[in-house]
Amino acid sequence: MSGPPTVLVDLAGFDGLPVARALFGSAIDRIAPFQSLESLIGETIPVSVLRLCENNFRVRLAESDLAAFTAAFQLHQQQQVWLKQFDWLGSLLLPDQMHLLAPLITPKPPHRIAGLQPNCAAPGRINNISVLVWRHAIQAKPAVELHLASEDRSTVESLLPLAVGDLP
Amino acid sequence: MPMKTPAVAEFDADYSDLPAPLGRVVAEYRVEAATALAYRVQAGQYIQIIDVEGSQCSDFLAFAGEQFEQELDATVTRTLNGLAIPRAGLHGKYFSQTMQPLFEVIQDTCGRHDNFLLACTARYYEDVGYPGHPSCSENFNQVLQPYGIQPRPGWSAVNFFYNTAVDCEGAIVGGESWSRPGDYVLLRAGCDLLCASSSCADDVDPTNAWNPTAIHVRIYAASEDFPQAIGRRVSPTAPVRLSRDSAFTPRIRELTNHLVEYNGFWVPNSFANYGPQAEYWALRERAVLLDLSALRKFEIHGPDACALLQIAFSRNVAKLATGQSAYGCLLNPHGGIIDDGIVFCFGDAYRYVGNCDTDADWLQRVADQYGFTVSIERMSDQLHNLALQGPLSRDILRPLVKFDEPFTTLDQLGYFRFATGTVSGTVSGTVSGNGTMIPVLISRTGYTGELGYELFVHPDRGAELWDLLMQAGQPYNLLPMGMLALDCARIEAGLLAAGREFDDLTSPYQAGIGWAVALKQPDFIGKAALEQIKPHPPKVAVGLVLAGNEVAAHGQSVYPVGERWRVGMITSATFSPILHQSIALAQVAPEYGAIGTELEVGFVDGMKRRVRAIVGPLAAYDPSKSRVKA
Repeated sequence: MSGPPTVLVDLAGFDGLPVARALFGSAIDRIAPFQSLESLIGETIPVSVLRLCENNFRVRLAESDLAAFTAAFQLHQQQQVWLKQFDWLGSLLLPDQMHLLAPLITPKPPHRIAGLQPNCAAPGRINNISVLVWRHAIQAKPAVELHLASEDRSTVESLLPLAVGDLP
Repeated sequence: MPMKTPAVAEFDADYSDLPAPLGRVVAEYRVEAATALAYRVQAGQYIQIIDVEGSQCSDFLAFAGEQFEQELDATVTRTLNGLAIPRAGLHGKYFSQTMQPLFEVIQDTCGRHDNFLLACTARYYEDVGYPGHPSCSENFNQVLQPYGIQPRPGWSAVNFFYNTAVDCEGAIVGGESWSRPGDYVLLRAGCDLLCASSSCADDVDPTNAWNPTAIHVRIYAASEDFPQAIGRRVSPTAPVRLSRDSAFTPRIRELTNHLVEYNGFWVPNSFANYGPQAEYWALRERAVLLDLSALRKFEIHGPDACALLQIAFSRNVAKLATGQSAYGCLLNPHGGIIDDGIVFCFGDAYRYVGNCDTDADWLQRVADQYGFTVSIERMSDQLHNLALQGPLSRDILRPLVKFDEPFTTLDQLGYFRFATGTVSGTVSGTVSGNGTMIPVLISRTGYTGELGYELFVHPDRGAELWDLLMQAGQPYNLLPMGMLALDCARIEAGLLAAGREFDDLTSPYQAGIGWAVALKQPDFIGKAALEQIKPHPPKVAVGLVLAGNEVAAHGQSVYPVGERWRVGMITSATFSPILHQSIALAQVAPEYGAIGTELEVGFVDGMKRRVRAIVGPLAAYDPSKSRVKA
């Protein structure tokens, strides 16, 4: 599952939804928190966008596209919204084998891990370590991301029955 | 520390003052008035704490771990649940200081407990002039001492049946317990626990009605499987009734864990892998299926059935043809809305579909008062109902429906018309899949602002109907819909919700349904008051479109631009996905209700941030109702 390096960036604020709509398209209106979609910024920058709540979004994109994405975001600077990269947020990229992963994760009710569909996410815990499970396509390949505190990355990695990809 | 069978279990006593056990009792204890006792339970076992005589508080402690090092933490519990007090359902767990779940509320027939204050302390009694008075905290110290637990001057406990609340000034206020004889809480231990229960010793204030009495504790086997339930009393004399499943809930539980209690039923808030946005768009663009069995149904028979409804209901029922229905409300003498609902005309009999079990009592009282000869039959347990709503709902239903004579076809079924018949089809992979025919009443009504139908069915056939409709809807990408998406849709459509837009102090003219009052009728309850109110109601219902994207909330104040004084209040609000705007329903002084009036909504503390809002029609979406009438 190797490919060009990618990054996570978060976008949120009072105007999070309208800015997300402007950046990612009106389809963003149609997904609920903990759902995601694939989009193109300016018809050239592919992104995966995960909605975290009404006005909060997390974006996975190629590191090489980050500058262009940031420039697109800055067109909305007059609105009440921020764009941040969190150095404390880590991620693990896994093959799309939920049947191996699901038994390890205790979902936060009412979320479900078993049966989690593509472009859906759910918070849960592995050995009492908080993870956000996000099932979506990365570089056109079905995958599962685990978002977790950077400091927990190696611990969780050691608990997984799956080979971890090379995302940061 | 290994668990032992409690040494003080009492099986010999005959407790005739208790409700019947819920299941297999493995131990039980009587906590005599103004005492406490400690007992052990094993993981998975159930603990039922019963208020024997009523109005008696029972403080409760739980410890887990080898050295009982895990103990209840009220602040952790409130924080993780987002509730002042956990309740049966999604947010029913009590947690330790390390955020481990200790036990969970499974059933609760009282509904008012305390999770803020200490178990009563010697200090409390000293401060009010009773030095040396027994206290729950001291009683706990004594019963916990054999387990090596150090005494404390005050124990942070769950104070079951203790009636406290935080008022709008932040004060913790209290009073006599709400609990009645036999009321109980049923808990399930999440791990092996040492528990302590008290019968509160307080006889110096209303907490225990100045008269401490016994508490009874039953422990049930872990093999039991008690359903989660919240007990409600709908009138002063009605027995407590536990929240229940509808005929469709087992199917719904397969699709979501996100259920909440609504009007006595467990209903879905949203569905796994879809969520409210997808459900909302399915409604607006295709079709959805939702369970509205929490509505209450009453049959009204007899020679004076029409006369009764003419007096009790706000519409002119005599004008209804057989197979026609009308939306309106039951009114009290001062013109307040007791309930809103729909009357269905079956010729010489009627059906009222509303929200309250007590509607039957009210209708019977009115009938008695006027000397009407009627019978009012409660049908809520015989009729559960699904709503199939959305622009494609007719296409989904058409091939499935066959109406009884003399009714015609689905396409000819007009708005606010209904017909009886069958829904039939084959559900693949089911036993009943051989061309099953399900008797139904189909009504062209809804609560979404879209074309739609409501299907009333006997609960015995409910699961079949759900399966049939879900399967028939597959080619149309039909989705099940939960209450979150429904609330958004009904606010867009300007439809009222009890407790939000109206209560029994609100007139139809204030709530925005003055059109549903047949004021020309010679007489009906509330007419005299409404004739006075109509020319100038204290408030009128309006729709607001807010500038910006912040969503308002029920209870926020509405102001004239730049003024400090209020002219109204938000009753419901949402972000409209289809309009891309923050919208609200509000009730404002009539002088500020004209369409186009610019107002402000107070956010945060009402002063820190004001958001401009423009008055519009009550229904921001399709105000002409063209879609429901399509």
